[in-house]
Order: sequence, then C-alpha cells, then structure tokens
Amino acid sequence: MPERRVRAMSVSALWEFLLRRRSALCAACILCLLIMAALAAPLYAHVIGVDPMESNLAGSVMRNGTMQDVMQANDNPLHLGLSPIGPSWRWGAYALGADSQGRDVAARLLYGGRSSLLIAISAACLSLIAATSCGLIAGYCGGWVDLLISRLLDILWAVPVYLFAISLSVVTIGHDLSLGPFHLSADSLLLPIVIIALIYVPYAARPIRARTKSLSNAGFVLAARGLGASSWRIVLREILPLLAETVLVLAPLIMALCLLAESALSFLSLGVQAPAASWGSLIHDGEGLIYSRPVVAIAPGLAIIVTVLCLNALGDAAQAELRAKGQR
Amino acid sequence: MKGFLSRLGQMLLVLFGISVLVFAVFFATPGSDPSARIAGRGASPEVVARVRHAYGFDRALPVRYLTMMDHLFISRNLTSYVNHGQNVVEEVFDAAPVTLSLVAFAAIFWVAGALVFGLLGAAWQGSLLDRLISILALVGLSMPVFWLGEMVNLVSQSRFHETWLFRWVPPLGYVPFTTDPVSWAKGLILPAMTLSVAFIGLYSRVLRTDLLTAMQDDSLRTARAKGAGPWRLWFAHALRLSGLSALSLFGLDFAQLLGGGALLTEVVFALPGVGHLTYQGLSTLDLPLIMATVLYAAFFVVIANALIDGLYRLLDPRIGRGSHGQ
Repeated sequence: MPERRVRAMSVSALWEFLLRRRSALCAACILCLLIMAALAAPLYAHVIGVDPMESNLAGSVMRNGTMQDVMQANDNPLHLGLSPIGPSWRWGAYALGADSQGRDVAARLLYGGRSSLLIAISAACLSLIAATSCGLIAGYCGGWVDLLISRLLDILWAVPVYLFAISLSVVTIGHDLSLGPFHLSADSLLLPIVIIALIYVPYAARPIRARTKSLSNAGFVLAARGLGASSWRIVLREILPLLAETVLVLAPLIMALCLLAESALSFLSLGVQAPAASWGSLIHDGEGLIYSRPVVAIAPGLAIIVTVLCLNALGDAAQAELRAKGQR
Repeated sequence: MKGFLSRLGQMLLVLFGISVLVFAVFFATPGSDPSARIAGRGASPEVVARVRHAYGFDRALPVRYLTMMDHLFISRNLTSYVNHGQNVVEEVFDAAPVTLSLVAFAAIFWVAGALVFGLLGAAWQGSLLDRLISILALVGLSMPVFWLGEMVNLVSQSRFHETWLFRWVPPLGYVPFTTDPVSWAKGLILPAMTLSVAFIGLYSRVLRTDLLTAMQDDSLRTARAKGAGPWRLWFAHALRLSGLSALSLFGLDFAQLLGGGALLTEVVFALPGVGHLTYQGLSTLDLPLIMATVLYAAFFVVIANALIDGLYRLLDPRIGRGSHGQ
C-alpha cells in the first residue's frame, strides 16, 4: 500500500507530468508569473510612487518631459467634463492611465490580482476540502447517509450558482457580521471566499462520491476490512490517498470557476468592497469610462482570461493524463 | 408508473428543499435583519421594532415561511418592500419574455456553433484546424461574459459603429416582439452571441469528445463495413449516438439561463429580463423580489431537469429499465 500513496502525492510525479505535457508547463509558468506579479504589487506601487487606494483627482504626473494633470479637460469645444489621463508606452506612473478617481490603473491591476487570486485559491481549497468530506462520507457510508447528502447536494445544484452566490452576498456583505465569538468586518475577504467555496461544493462532490463508491468495493479495501482495519483507517489511509488524484485534477478547474465567480460578484459590487480592488471590481470601475478610456476595463478582463485559460489548460492536461494512466 | 411517482416525489422534495434553503438564506442568516434594512440607516430601535411587527418579522420562522410561500405561489400577491404595492410575481412574469427571447436566440447560436466546431474538430482530429478550434473553445470558456459584453458594446456602439459592419446595431435596450419584430431581432443578436460564446466553447468540446468516442462504437463499425459514406457516418450515426448526452446538458444549461443565469448579459446590455430584475432587487435590497426571482429560477431548473430526464428515457430505451445507472 505505501508506495501507491507516495506515487499519488509526490512532487516528482508532478514534475514529470509538467515536463510531459508542454501546455501544462506553459500554463503553470504563466500562473507563477501572475502570482509573483500580484505579490509584488506593493513593491510596484512603492517604486512608481502611487497610492492605488487613495483618489488623486488633483494630482499631476510627469509625461513626455512636461507635467500633466491626472484628470484632463475633455477636448470638446467647451472643455466640459474631465477624463482621466490615458495610457502611455513609457515605464512610470500611470502607464495604463488613471481611473475615474485618478488612481493608477496598473497598480490597481496588480492589487486586484492579489485579492482575485487569493479568493480564487482559498475558495477552491475550501470547496475541495468540503466536497471531499461530503463525497467521502456519502460514498463510503452509503445507505441513508448517502441519500441525505446526495439530496442536499441536489438541492444546492438546482439553484443557479451565480444567483445563489448573489443571494448569499446580498444578505451578508456590506455590514459587520458577528457569529458567536467570530467577528467579521464588512470588508473581510473571508465572506466572498466562503460563499464562492460553498456554491461549487456539489460540482466537486459528485465525482468524488462516485470515485469513493467504486473504490470502497475494490479488492484492497475488502482485504483491509478482512484484516480487521477500522472504518477510519480504511477511509483515511486506503481510500483518501487514492482520491488525491481525482481531487488534484478537479483543483485547477474549480479554481477557474471560483475566479470567474469572484469576478462576477465583484463586478456586481458584491464581492471585494471598495476601495480595495479585484479584477471584477476593476471592470466595474471601467464600465463608466468604457467609451473614453477603454483600457481601464480591458486590462483586468485580459488578466482574468489569461488566468482562467491557464487554469483550464492545466486541468485539461491533468484530465488527459489521468485518462491515459487509466488506459495503461 | 411506480418509477414515475417516485421521480415526482423526489422532485417535490427537491423543490421544497430549495424553497426552505432560499428562505433561510434571506431571513435566517445571522446578521441579516430585514427590518433594520427597511427602517433605514440609523433608525431608532422603536422604529425598527414597529417595522418588525408591521412586516411580521417577529413571528416564528415556519409561520413566516408558510405566509411567504402562500403569497408567492397560491395567492400570488407578494409585494415589494421598496416600491410599495408593486406585485413581485407580476413583475417576474412581465420580465420572463425578454429572458426567453434572449436565451432562445443564444441557444440557436450555440447549438449551431457547437455543431460546426465539434464536427470539424472531430472529423479532422489532430490537425491544425482541430488544435485551433480547441484553443478558441478554451478561450471562449475562459471569458467572463460581462467583460465580453462590454467589449462588444465598445466596438459596436462606439468605436466602429459608423462602419458598415455595425451600422445596423440599435442602441442598447429591448423592443418587444409585438411592437416591432425586426428591431426585436436586431437588438437581441449581439447580446445572444455574447451569451453563447462560452457555451459554444463548452459544447464543441463535449461534442468533439463524444463524437470521437461514438466513432469507436460497434454500430459505427458495422455501418462503415456496410459501406456508409462519411456524411452518413458522421451525421446519421455518430451524431445520433453522441447527441444524447449533449442534449441532457443542453436542457440543464437552457433552464439555468432562463432562470437567471443570463443576469450578467442582461445587465451589460440593459435588457429588462428576469436577471435584470434580480439585479434591480439587489441594488435596492428588495428581498421579496430577489427571493421570487431566485425561487422561480430554481424551479425552472428542477422542472426542466425532470423533463429532460423523461425525454432521455424516451429516446434511449436502454436506460430506465432496471438499474438506475449507478
């Protein structure tokens, strides 16, 4: 038994997989770069000398050798209204221009990446942990426990995911929340994480339950039971290690879904709360400027697409790998 | 007959579960006190208490659940908390045709797109074309629909509106079919295309895989041995074999979209459908409105699920006779 467990979880197996599938390697590299860029957000803001959270309507910036206002008069005949400064190809402050509050879009993009990626990663982990527990218990116990959990998951499944997330966010986000000893402030990232994790539990729990069901009738489980192993031992040491594959294959796909859900919630102002940013809320900010400064909305959208694309490619490669392994 | 009754019983159980879940989300979540919201920010405790009594929030939860369900489904006179006297059930039914038209249009695009790309990818498996299609499908899957909608608006309403390609695009909004069928269709084409992009990506992938699996099937080998040409092989045999699983997926997604999954598209393109109604309810925190839309949505999904299940059994006699496919 032990060597099977080692093979399922080891780092070198992961390396081999990445080296064998070029698309997976590519995707993993891009994801690492994105995460590093997001982590470096404070560094960038410090080097460039901008505050990504504070509005800067009266500020000015050096460009092409002259000082220019961050908010510039429109070039209509009467000079009515103000537009934020546009993007430029030079390295420096406001490289991607400013948003309607005069804040640096490039810096906000990096800061937005921090919250988007943080929420997506933690929500995916939480969701997978919950789904694994549900699927494992339902699949192993069978009988009425299985029936109860499966029906509950069916109910969750039947509510359209975004609507469910939106409903939960409406009632919880935007004011302080006290749950017994826990106190959550209104701008805590924990709420969107928990909400997004919850809506994708059925998505992952179903395949995990099916896999557990087939595993618990496998020969080695019967052998372990025949040797007198307890249910705990069978579940934790015989079945769980073999489930790791199923869960790992699901992980990038769930994370992609979580990232998309987060951006949708933030786009509706129900996720990350201002002045903090996420890619979704940046698109929301850019909506008002879409005809004059489209880059404010285009840039975070491209960031989402690249991230989700890489995650999906990674998930696809992992799935293909698993299928090939099954055929061998 | 017994199977049918047990399916019906399960369906009712799921419907009941959903209604309890949604009710609990809105009225029993810790920290969500609707009376404080209705009374407004900084209202005195007496005012909040009066509101609580007036709206019946001080009664026991099961009683409130039953009254709510009665207002929603039996007497159908649930009124909004924000626009007093506005009947929420009527509002949902007024918005439904908009969503239905949008989703029906999108379904046409996505079935056509998925068929074309899925068949092309499967027929030239491993070629450059296949790879290109699979990359495009992945990109389509990865796009946030609201962002794509904004880009479509940017291109078609502003930047390139004057070119021949987008001159026909009407301003954002919805024209009812009964008013002017031509503008109705014109206004829906771009939103429906935007909505369908992710589904084209998903379905062309599913269809391609299913077609390739079907090609390995014994019946296909027999057909090939009997001398069926490639057209007949792909369309009459492979597509029929693989269409079933895509069909059940289609029914589920269609119902999800009808039930409010099209919310983001409707918001971006300013279409006054059910999703947009939910969005309005969100911005004003109108709980009865949101609750009505979410519940109707969930019911749509459950009923469509049951319908698809029945259809599936009719079309594929192998299942449903004996074991329940587990």
